[in-house]
Amino acid sequence: METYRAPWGISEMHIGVVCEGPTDYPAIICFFGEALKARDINATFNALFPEMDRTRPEAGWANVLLWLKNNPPAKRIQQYFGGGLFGGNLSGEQYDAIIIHLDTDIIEHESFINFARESYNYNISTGGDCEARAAEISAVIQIAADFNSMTQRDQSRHVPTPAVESTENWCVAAFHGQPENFELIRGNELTNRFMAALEMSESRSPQDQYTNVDKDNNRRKRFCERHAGGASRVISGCKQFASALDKLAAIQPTPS
Amino acid sequence: MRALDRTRFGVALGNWFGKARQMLKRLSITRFKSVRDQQLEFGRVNLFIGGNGTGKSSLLEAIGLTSACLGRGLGDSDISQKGLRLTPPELMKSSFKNESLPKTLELDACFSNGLDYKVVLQSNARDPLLSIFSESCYSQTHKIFGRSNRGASATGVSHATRLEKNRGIWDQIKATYEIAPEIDQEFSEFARYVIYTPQTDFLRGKQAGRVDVPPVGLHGEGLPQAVSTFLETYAAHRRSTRGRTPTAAWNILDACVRLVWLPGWASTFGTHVAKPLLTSRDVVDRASETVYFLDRFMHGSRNRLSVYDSSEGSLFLLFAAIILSHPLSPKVFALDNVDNALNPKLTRKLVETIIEVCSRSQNQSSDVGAKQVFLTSHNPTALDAFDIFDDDQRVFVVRRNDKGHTVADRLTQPKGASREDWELMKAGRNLSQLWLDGDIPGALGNI
Repeated sequence: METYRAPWGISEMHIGVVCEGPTDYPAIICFFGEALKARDINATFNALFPEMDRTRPEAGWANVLLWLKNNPPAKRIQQYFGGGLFGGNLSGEQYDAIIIHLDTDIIEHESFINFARESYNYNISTGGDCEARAAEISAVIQIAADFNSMTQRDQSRHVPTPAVESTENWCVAAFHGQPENFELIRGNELTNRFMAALEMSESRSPQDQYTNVDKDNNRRKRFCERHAGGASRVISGCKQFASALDKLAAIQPTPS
Repeated sequence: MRALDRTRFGVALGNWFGKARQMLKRLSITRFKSVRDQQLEFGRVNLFIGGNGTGKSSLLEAIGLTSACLGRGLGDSDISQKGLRLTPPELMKSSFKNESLPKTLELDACFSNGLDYKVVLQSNARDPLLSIFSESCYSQTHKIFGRSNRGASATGVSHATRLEKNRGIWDQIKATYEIAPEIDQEFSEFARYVIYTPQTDFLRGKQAGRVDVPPVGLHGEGLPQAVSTFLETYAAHRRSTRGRTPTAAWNILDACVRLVWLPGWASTFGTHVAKPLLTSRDVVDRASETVYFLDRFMHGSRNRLSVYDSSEGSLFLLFAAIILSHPLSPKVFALDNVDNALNPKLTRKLVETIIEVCSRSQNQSSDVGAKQVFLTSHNPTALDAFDIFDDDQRVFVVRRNDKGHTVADRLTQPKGASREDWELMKAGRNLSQLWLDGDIPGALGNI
């Protein structure tokens, strides 16, 4: 696979992350962090979510889309790219890019389809191959983020990052040595292969079948940190991950 | 028995008069507790927010220590009467890992009329009190007074009499030398600065204590007497303004009384001597005058609630009304935890009233009402009372930097942003929402 290296030689990059939930965050920072390092980019990450109350769902597409709604372009651009919401020494952290993540496994969810139609007047096309599913999620992110109101430069600093079908696919790819199109794994197979990887990573014997994916944050964080070195396998086995990586690496540094 | 009925109040608007803008404009603090080196530019109302243990109270104390140097001195009783903690002198000086610091702490206060007062304080391990190493006061470039190890002078004249080392020179020479009245007034007002930290047990009368700085103690001691004299003042102003244009003093008193009605349940408050049998045995002094409220929802024969049984928030608002507008209250003071016992909306209303009082008091040259106030708060809605585009209203975010030094940064809009620009930038959210969402750097502490 051809590797894209930024011609202006960014060596440091500060990236904000808006993702579905706490188990996605370590996958994003570990695999993108390692993949960027391989391109001589030392990336640091920060979750942009405020602390949620205990009533809200821990994860989900609604968290991302509502965050975009509550943080419209003028605010996002000023706060994260444009010097902060306050003057003087209270300008806050400045970012080179924001990763906006959604899993593609939500495409068939009725609530998501209805939300996209009612909120954005957008009809989701269900089914499709990996590329089409990623394109569909990217389109929703672009509408939700109001790309049309942004300059090209600000658009490029918002990086829609669809995980096909979810960040668990990246984890499976990072764990396994054999080349494969990991974005094709779905449903029960994904649950079983991810859980098996998780158990084996902790030197446990995997079961034949699993009902659910373990969403324990600490366990996921340990897994992602341990297998961050497998980022190259994520790149080769998850094309949409590689595409988002290229977009990230192509971003010019924010003038300081 | 004195009482005030809410139905008697009308809306009053005042005239605006000339401005006399006396206040502490700037304080440079060097090596005081966790404050290694900070210069703060103050407004009329100043709010310190930030994580716990970042040094907000230390900043209030630094102002208090400066005030003590211009007041009665650095003795334990003088310090504690101001609401400062009786920290051993050695611990008042900064101490940081891997930093060798001079054995002194410095405070440099600049007042709005051009007065600049600087004091250097020192202590040795065995000294029970801080002592003054040197101090000076300039008006523009003109030296008003000064002292050092080479002697002392005032108004250009050497001062021969030995000065007490634990008292500032101002308090020891002001009666001897002819000093401009505006300087006297500025320092006299600032010397009365105290830090109020109201506590429920004192407000309810479960604990008693001294009132060192009238009209009310720092924790709420002597509240009934303060309320009684406040009501006398209120009645006198009401009589004198009847049928006339309301005075600034009346507007201030009226705004403060309105605070007490805010919770909405009381129709009257006042003071009386209650029958002992109708007073809780938990109250320390059951024979003296006490504060009561009439509950507007209760039956008329049994609707009188003592402070012991009243809402904590109402007591706190009454206390705030007293310190803001009682004629004897210090004109410059701090209120630590302004949100104490108040729900978010009341917190905002109280801070709005504080801002209104200070503005009226200063701009309309009233002899009633606070002129400069320093606040701390952990309640985000306190922020919503502030217009950060107004230089008189300032919010400081207090945090510890990576060396542990206390740093206080003023909250301002981005440079060059208009109100409209900023409204778009913050997506129409209130400052309180920005604080809760973690969008004000440092305001949520380091958790």
